[in-house]
Amino acid sequence: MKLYSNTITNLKLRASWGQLGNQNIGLYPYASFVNIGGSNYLFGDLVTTGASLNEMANSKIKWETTEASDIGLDLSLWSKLTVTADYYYRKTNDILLRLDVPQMIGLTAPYQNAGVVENKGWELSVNYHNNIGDFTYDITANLSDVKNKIVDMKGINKTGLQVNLEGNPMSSLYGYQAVGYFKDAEDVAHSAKQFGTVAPGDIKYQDMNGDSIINNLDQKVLGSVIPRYTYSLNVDLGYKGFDFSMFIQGVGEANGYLYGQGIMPFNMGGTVQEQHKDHWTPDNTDAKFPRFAFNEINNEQNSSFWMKDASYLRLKNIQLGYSLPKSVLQKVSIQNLRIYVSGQNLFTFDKFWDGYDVEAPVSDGGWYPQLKIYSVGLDVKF
Amino acid sequence: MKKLYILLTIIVAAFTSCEEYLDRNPLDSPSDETFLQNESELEMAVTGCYNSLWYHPVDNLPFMVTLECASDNGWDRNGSALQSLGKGVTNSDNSYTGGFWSSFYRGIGRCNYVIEKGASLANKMDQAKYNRLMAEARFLRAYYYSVINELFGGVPLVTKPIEISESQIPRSTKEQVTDFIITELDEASKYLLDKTDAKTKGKVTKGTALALKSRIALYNGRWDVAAKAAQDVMDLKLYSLYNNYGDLFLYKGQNAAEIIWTVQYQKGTATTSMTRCFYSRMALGHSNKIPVQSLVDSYEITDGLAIDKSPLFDPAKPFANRDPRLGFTVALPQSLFINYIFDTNKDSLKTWDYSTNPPKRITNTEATHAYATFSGYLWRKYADIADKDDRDNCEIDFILFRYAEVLLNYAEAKIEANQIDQSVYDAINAVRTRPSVNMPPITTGKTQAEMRSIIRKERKYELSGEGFRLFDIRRWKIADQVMTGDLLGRVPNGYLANAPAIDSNGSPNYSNVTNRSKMRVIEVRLFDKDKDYLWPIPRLETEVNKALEQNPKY
Repeated sequence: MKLYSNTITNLKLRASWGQLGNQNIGLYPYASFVNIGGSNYLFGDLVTTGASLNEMANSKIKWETTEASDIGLDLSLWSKLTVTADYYYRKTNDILLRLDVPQMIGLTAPYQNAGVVENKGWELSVNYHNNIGDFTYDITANLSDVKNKIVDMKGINKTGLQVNLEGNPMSSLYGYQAVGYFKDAEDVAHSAKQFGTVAPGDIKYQDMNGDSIINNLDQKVLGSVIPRYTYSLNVDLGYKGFDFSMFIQGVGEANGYLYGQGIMPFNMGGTVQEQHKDHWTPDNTDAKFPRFAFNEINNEQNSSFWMKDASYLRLKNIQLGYSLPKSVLQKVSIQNLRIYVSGQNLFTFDKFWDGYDVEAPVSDGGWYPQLKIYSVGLDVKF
Repeated sequence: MKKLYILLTIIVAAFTSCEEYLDRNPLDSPSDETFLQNESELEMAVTGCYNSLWYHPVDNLPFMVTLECASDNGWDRNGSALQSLGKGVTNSDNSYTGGFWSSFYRGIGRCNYVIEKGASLANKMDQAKYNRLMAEARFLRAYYYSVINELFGGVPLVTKPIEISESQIPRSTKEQVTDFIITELDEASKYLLDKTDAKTKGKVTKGTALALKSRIALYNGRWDVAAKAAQDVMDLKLYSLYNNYGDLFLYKGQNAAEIIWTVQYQKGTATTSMTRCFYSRMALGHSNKIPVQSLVDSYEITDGLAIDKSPLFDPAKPFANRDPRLGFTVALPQSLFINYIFDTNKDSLKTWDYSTNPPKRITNTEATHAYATFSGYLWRKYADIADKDDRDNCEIDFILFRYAEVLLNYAEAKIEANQIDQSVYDAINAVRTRPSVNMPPITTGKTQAEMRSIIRKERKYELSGEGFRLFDIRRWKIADQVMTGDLLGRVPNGYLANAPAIDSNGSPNYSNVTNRSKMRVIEVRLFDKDKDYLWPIPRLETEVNKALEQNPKY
């Protein structure tokens, strides 16, 4: 063992298993109660207390439980290189879902312990720090991945832009598969019937079931919004009074989606953006946007057309500083004096919609983007 | 040893009592089993049935007023499920139509609970009060059924509380549900209040039950029943037409003797956003539920002729000499609307602000705002200036039944039954010659076809903006004509060059208008006559209740 003690300075193998309960399941879901005061009404000018039975009960309700197993490795070599690696598996059982019941019963469906979701993932972190004379450096790299999968939803089949479907990740994007633009009137006439008044230059959707009509039966899971292969790199360098740090982060695989006023021309009969100038016309058939269709809904369907690759690499933070030598400072009784310049979000490499932050959530673009910040600073400690 | 026994006793005691101790019921909510044991609980449960009237499917609007956007009178600018419905491009996942299904079945469920469980109180409280409360629940159930039965066309008839295991119920036919509604109304009307006072306003009365009966009988071609029920309302001698048509839909008209039943609103409890949706952009509204050009052109000239027939119609002044109900129903260009002279004319870059005295000349954003009304018109009914500083809290009680409708129901039923006597002319003329409307009376001696045309137009003039139109164009089977093609707004910087041709139902056809191409096309509507006369049964409902049959082509 001694032979390796200078090489392997730390080695640890870890394994763990645990079970966690979630008791946040609402109050009194196990019995039917009449709600008093939640269904009032007005007679004359007087508020009159109303009572109503609103929800079905589930006498068998219990906690959600999550089982987590993890195996890991901590390794240090020469006291300079540290490696941490983990693999985990988490499974959440008995997730409370409102399984659909006929609405004509007149009561809200009860929560039932029905869903199962699993997460499989791994994380790797490597750090190396050393110095060459007065030059010090410290580099940390992280890489992780998680695969989320819904194992069981009891066949719940909600529709919408984001769905939870068995076998797919949570909140997957769901819609039509766009297959380019309609070329001409003949193309429209010979394709499946779509939405409203369709003309050349409109988005064409794939007829998944081949029944010559595009409707909700032709929708499919288009992609996941849960990022895969997230990574980061942190570099700290120092030389005498100078210090430099840099933080880069990125995602290897992700999908983003914008809709509504954020990206669709004339949405709700509204206006257009500068970038919509590149729209389909008979002379511009490989345009970025479809034909201008005022108040038509065909192009505004949830589809892969509006989904974009949201992978990115971003320089989150960079900073260069200089601290004056203590020998100089002692004369003016200052403990520490450091000047620095820094920048946040300076560069981003992505393939997302122009003008939008690649980290934008699935939305109509109505959110406050991340800022690019430049700062110059002076730290003085007396 | 003794210590051990004590310890064991404690342990055993702790473990046995534990379970029960933790199983607690809420102290503020009675259980389903123990509720409805006395008079005050019955009153609360019936109030809960009324609560479902506060159904606001979109933008916090009363459900009836939103239906106008699904008819040829109006439009919803919101990219909403309601807009798709009006456009004729909906499917069984439409959240607007699905909402009617779930919300009214929720109301029906509450009524069923009261009717089933309240029966045990029959001999335990004041008999008259018991009868009245139960009758209110039965009326409300009939009313909720009437709405969904008309819209979806035959729905499952659930008349008592049911379990999941009992919920595979097929649809009854529209006829069967109508029979049920009429029978229930006959039963309920025996016990309902004769009239309401300041303390009971909002309660259902005999008049309400009879008015609903006349409406539903008319909608389902039961002319004699409809005419009789309407006659019964008239014979109550409780209702009369209000003298100021415009004020009827504003705060001023709230206690009019014309009003039979309203949905009640009050700040702090329940309000609507009619103000927000109907106001102009200048008045800080959203102008997103709007009337369209075809409604405006339907209204007659004061001589009783259509605009394409009357010598008094001047295309340069299209809103002069018109049936005054046009200006009371619709905010017209160059009229004063919520303190501003309203006009979306693209060349009208300045306008007058009447909030100051003397009025100020100010910039007219109505002309430049991308989301100003697309048609150039706004609804004036229910847009009261009193709400100008609190636009999401309109507390005007929304009228569900009023006397003018009953008179028109009467006239139409008699016309369709071909019993056209003086009483039919009297009913129509009472409505159109009331003070503030003063249209010339219909003269006697008309044929059935002429009278049919007159009554259909009269309903459009009188009832637009109140949610009746969708039901009317469906039962007259004219929806496939009036809901197809370009939905038109005004010429953006002018008026129509000449009057469109007006047909016997009052619907304009613009093909003869020389500047037709200048009119704003709001959207292109589709209407499949084999499909769009009925709303789709919600898809999820057909999946969890396999006995349910979907409407054709959905």
